Amino acid sequence: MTDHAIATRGLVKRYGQQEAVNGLEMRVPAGAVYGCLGRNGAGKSTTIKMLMGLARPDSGSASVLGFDCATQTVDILRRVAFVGENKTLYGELTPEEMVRFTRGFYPRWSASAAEAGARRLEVPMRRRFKTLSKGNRAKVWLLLALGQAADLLVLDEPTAGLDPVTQDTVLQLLAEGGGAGTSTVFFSSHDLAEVERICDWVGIVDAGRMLLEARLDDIREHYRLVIAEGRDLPMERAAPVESATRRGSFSRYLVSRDADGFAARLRSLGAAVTDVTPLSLRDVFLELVRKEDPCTSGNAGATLAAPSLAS
Amino acid sequence: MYLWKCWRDTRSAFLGIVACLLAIGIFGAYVQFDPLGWIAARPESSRLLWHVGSDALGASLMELIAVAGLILGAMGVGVEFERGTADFLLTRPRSRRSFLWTSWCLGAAQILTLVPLALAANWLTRPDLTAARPGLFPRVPLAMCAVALLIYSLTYLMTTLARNSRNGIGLSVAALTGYTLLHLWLILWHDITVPIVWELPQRPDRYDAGVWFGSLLGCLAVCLTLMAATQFRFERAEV
Repeated sequence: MTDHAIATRGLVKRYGQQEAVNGLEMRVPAGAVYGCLGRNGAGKSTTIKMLMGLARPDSGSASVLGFDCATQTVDILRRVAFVGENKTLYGELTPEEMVRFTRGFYPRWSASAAEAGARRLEVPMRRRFKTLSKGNRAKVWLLLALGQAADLLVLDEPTAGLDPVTQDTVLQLLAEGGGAGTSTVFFSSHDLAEVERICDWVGIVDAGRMLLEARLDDIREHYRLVIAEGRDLPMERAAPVESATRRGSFSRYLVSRDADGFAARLRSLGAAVTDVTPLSLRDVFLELVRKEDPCTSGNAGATLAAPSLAS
Repeated sequence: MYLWKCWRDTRSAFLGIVACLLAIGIFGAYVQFDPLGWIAARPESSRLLWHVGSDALGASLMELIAVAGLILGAMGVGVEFERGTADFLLTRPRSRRSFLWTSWCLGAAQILTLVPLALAANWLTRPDLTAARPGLFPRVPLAMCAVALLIYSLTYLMTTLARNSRNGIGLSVAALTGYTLLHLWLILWHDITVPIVWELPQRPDRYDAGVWFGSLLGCLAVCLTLMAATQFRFERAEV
C-alpha cells in the first residue's frame, strides 16, 4: 500500500471543446474517508471514471493503490469496489442473483459483509432489479460493493435519490469504512452536510480543478475569512491564501492558517481589516466556488500588480 | 460467471428459434409421412397446398438462421451500453476482451447448434431434394455455419459501434444489402463474376471445390477480422 490510495497528476479530460477535467491534482491519503465536493458538472464523475478505467485521460496520469490507471486497470479493479453514478444493473436479475454473479469475480468476496449489508440496508433480495425503486437500486449497488471486501471503496454520489433513513444507514456504513477489510473510502457528493458528517478529508473541485484539499479538522480549526478594505491589495493565491476575491473596495481572503498574522500584514499595507471569521465547510465551499467577477477573482489565477504577501 | 449471464440474456431468443425449427421439422415430417392419413384424404389441390407450404418453410431455413445471426449478434456485449450496465460490467476485474470473447463464443456455439437443427428440419421437409444431392452434404452445413457466423459477427460489430441493438441490426442489414448490391453491380455492369457468400450454402455446386473452399475460408477470415475490429473498438470504448 502506498501513502496515497489515489493520486492524480495534471489529469485532463476533454469532451470536444469542453474541458471536463482540467489539470486535476488530487491526493487521497490511505485510510481516509475522503469526500470530493463539487457542483454539478465540476468534473467529479469524469475523474472517477478515469480512475476506474471507464474513460481515458487526454493528458496527465492517475494511480490507484499504486497501480497506474491507464495500464493496470484490472489490478485496480481487483482491489477497488465501485458504486457508479448511474445505478442501473441487469433488470431481469434479482439482487440475490446479482450477488451470485458478482461474487464470482472476487476471490476475497465476503458473504458475511454482503449479508450484513443486505440486512442493514433492507434490500429486497428476491425482486427483479427492474421492479425496484431508485433508492433500492442504489442499495443493491452498495451491497455489491460491500461484499467485495475491497481495499478502497469508490462511490459516485452514493446517497443520491435515497430517503433520509437509508441515507443515514449508508453514511454510517461508509463512516465504518464500508465493510470487511476496506480501509479507504472515496466518494463524490454535492451534499455538504453528509461530507461534513463522515469525512476526515475533503477535496473541493470546480471546473475540473482541485481548489482545495485539506483535512476537515484543519478547515474547522484554522481556516478563516479575512475581509479588508483598501486600495491595491494583493490578490495572489499563494499560501496561506486559498482564494482572494474583490468586490468594490473590499477584498475577501480565504486563509488556511495564521489568519491573525495575515491580517497584520494587510494592515501594514494600509488596509482596514474589517472581519476575521471562522468558517464552516459550507462557507469555505461557497467562498471557493462562487463565481465572482472573473477580472477580480483570485481563484481563476488572476494576479494584480501588487506584491505577494506570501513571499 | 459472465457466460452464465450471457446465457440468461440470450436463452429466450435461442430457445425461441429452436422452437421454430422444431415446429417446422415436425410440420415437414407430418406432411411427408402423413401418419394419420389426414392429408391423403384431402382433395389433390389441398394436398398440393400442404406440400408447397412444407417446401416453402424448408427453403426458408437459411433465412431463419440468418435472422438468428442478426438477433444473437445484437445481444452481444455492445448492448451493455444501451441498457446502462457497461459501467458495472467494465468495473469487474476482468479484461474487456474476455467479456467480448465469452459473449461471442456463446453466440457462436448457439448458431453452430442451430445449423444442424435447421438441416434436420430441412431434411424432414424436403427429403427427396436432400437425397438427390447427397454429395453436397458436407458443403451445405459448413457453408451455413460460415454465413451465419459472418452475419452474427457483423451484427456484433455494428451493435458495439452503435451501442444499440436496433441500430446494430439496421447497420448490419444495410451493410449486407450494400454488399449484395455491389455484387450485382459487378456482375451486371462489369461482367465480373465473383462468388458471393449467399451462394455458398444455397448453390454449393456452382463453383469447383477449390474456389468454394477458398471462399469459405475467406468468409471465416472476414468473421475474425470483424471480431478483431470489435475488440479494438470495445477495448477503447469510454462509458
